[in-house]
Amino acid sequence: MSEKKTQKNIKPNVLGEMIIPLFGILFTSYYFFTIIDSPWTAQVNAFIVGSILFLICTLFFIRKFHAVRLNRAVCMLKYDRLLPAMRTRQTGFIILTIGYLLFVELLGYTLATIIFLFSSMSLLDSGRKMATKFALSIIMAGVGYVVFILLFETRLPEGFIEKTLQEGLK
Amino acid sequence: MIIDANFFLELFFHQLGLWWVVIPSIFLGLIVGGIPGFSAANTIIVLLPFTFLMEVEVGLVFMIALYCSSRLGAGIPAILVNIPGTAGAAATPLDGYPMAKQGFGQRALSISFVSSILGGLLTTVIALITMPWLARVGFYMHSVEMVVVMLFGISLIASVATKDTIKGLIAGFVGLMIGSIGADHVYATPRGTMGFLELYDGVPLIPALVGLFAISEAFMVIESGSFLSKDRVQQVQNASWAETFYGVRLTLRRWFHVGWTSLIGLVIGVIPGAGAAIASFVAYQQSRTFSKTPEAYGKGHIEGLIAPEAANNGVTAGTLIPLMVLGIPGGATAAIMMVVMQYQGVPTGPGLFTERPDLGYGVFMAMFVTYLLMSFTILPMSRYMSRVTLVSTVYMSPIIIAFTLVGSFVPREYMFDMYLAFGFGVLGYIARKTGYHVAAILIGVILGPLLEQYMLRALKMSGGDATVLFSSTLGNFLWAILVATLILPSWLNKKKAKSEQ
Amino acid sequence: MTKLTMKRRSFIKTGAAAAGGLMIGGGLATPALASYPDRNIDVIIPTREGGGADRLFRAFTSLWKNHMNTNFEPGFFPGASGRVGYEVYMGKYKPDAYSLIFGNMGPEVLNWAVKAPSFNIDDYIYFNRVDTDPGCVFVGAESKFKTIDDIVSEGKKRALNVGTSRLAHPASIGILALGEHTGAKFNLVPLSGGKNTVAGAVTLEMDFCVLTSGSVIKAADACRTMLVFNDKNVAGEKLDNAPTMNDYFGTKLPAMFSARAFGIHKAAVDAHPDRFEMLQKTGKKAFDDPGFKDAFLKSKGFWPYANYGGVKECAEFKSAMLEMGERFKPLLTGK
Repeated sequence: MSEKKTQKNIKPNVLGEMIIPLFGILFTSYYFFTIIDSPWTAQVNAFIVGSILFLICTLFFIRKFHAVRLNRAVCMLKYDRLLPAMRTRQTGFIILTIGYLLFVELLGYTLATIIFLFSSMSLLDSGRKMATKFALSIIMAGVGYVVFILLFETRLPEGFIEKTLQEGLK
Repeated sequence: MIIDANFFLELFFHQLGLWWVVIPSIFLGLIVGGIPGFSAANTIIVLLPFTFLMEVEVGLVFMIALYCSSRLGAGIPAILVNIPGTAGAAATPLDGYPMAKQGFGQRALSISFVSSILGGLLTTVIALITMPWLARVGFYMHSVEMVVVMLFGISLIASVATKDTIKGLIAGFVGLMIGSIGADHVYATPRGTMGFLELYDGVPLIPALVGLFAISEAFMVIESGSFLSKDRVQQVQNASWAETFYGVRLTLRRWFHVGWTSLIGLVIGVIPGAGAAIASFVAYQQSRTFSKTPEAYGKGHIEGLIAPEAANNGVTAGTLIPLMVLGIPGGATAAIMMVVMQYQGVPTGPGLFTERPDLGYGVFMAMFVTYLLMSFTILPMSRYMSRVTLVSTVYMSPIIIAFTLVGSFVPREYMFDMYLAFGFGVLGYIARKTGYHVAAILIGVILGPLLEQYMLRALKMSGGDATVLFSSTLGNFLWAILVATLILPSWLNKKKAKSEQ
Repeated sequence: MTKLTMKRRSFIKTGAAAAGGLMIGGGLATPALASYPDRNIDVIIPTREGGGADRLFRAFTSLWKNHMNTNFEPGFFPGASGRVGYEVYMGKYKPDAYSLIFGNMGPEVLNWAVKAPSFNIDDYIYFNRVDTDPGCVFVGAESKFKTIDDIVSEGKKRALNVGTSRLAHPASIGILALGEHTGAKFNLVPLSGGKNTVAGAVTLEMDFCVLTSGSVIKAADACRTMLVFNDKNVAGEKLDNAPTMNDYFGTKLPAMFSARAFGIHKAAVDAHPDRFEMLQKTGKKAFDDPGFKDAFLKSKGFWPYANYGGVKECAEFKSAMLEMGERFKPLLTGK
């Protein structure tokens, strides 16, 4: 039984491979919807490219369906089998990145970067060498502040640190 | 003024005397080229007041050195950590990054530097000699011809994914569809923008580049904890200067390859509006087509690295030709140079060579001197730069994410572009995880809108008649070459297989 | 030269909070004070940094700031032919006269005629027009066409391909009006931007091109000008002494300008008439300041095109553009 289970696990899960073509089909359908009433100049390229994409995806689906029918592949909707070897650390790292994007406006570039760097480095390394990581986070965010905000005067979100430093520089 | 060998010799030593401008500009260019989102063009804009204060000659040398070295700088992170600094370096990681992952980062950098420098030197000399004739290229390469040139680049989609062609095509066409987002080129009808005004002008390139390559890579490499496997780490640690010299030798031995791929860059660079991205993809595609070992491309093939690097440096000289000879800038950096020249009262176009030949030819001589000085200043750095690959991904991944997200913000300063880069990162990550080639998606995103633009222009000119695409002699000649390069390799392979049987 | 200070982006970012990547100037607005202005004035520029609008803005505000006694802080919001900048200005900034927009009345107003924005176009007012750059018809130096008559007579035989930076542009309207008047057939081909339009003419891919004449003057000998869409060719020799359309063909076409002016929320004008009054008065003073010519020339402007206009002139031009846009709407939208 366990041998059978292992064997089954080796088989590729076609559902994972379907994500990109499904995304392509959904997006193309939406795109077509936006150009229905448009002049021909807006349509010609998309209709050519989109139709070819539909055609290739259909071929791909047929091929995969065939593979599942012949028991050469599986089709299962299970989180860890959808994207092979997607681990908890990776999921956590992606969530931290989303958090960084959401909080960068609230906290300002520098503080958000320090928090993001420190928390993600700690997550990826299970909390070892915390002092080094903290120092490195501050240094890298500092380099970012000097290069992006001071030298290139980029309009990055500003928060407590930027405003305090600005007052200080004045 | 007599334009003879003596004149050029004097000009050479004169430009060499400006080394104190060239060398700092080279290092500045390396940095801004390497950070995605920054480029020679926006750095020159930021430093414009300094440039205005400089003597016109010094200002031009500064801009030229910055321009050339930023091209080279963009290739460094592309090779070491799979982050092309600009769209012009998007073809560099195809073979450069696999080399670095095999522990040959130092060698790959050396190959990239030498092919860039050689390509740059060669095309500068050719540009100097053939300027008046090369400037005519723009008179023949119109929309119809450019449609075919774009197809040369796009046909790469089929060849980058040799393992699974159907998946390669899906990735490429998804990229082309994403590249079609934005207002249509004629009537400005918004298409597929999901209501975001930020997408009216199409998908911004840097967020796409950063997301598909860098962010997805940062998510991927944390699985292993290192860019390199354990035995490769040892290899990089033990690497000596010999690795750099070996890279130099490997490239010099392929001087002919460097030569013809850089010429592709020069010719494409001369066409107003074309640019380095298309040049490097076309050069890579051609290099692969004429290679005896096309199956090794994408796995760390030396010529696969030489081709895009030689070509994008060839573009540098190319984009300046229409500005100098005709007075029309060939690209963004050339356009800014034009502003500076006009500010200083220097004529652009034909008048430049009669009124100020020292400046007209001087610009190209400055380029020659920059490439020459780069060989002494940058090449030795390859040994130290390659050590970046030894840094644990525990540190590198978060730093890559933080810096590249900001890089995607810089060109337009919209938070939207940061979210977009992340979105492309997730798309790239899923693609990699499920066996789709991110480079194929990117080729679609970069070249798709260009193809559409040229195709619509041709169709609009002909009143919607599609036969216009086969109406020019040069265009038909290019079509024939395109078909030949697509069919010949597989025909030759079949023939070879038959004879082996 | 010293006016262009070393620190290019002189804006001091006090109090510019960013939300959604878009600065909300009004977020920190204080109640109306007697001493207007008591802080910097934000100016939205709906084009890229380093472009013509940016340079003109810096030249003008380098004088205006002395008369207003405050700094003007630019924020660049390029995209969708200016649409992004206007949407940000109208949607995100408080109408308190502490924020302005520095737009190009020609192409940007034509945009509204082609596709209405999300706000009411009467909810903002243009004032302090700084320049007027008329559109023109030009050919590459090697073109076979020598005069506008050659173009018109050829256009009567076959549809000529006309390069333009984009369809909703005053110069495009000009050539469509010429076609309507003479019966010549012109097929407009948008080439995305002035640089490509000049290239389209020079490389002879297009039969001829139309563009704002400032860009054509910069191309110098690479191009020859044939016709100007204004009442007078104020550039004279710089535009090859080309005739104007109204003079030569006896038409009554309004001037087809690219015209940069400041814009302000109408609500701000209604709520703070004193502030608006001050902005107008000081703006006029800045324009008449002897230092302005110097700053304008240094920004690579063509002095004959510096042309002040008040609220009335701006309103007339805005409505002329809307009217012309409406008239040629089918040709501009393909519908």
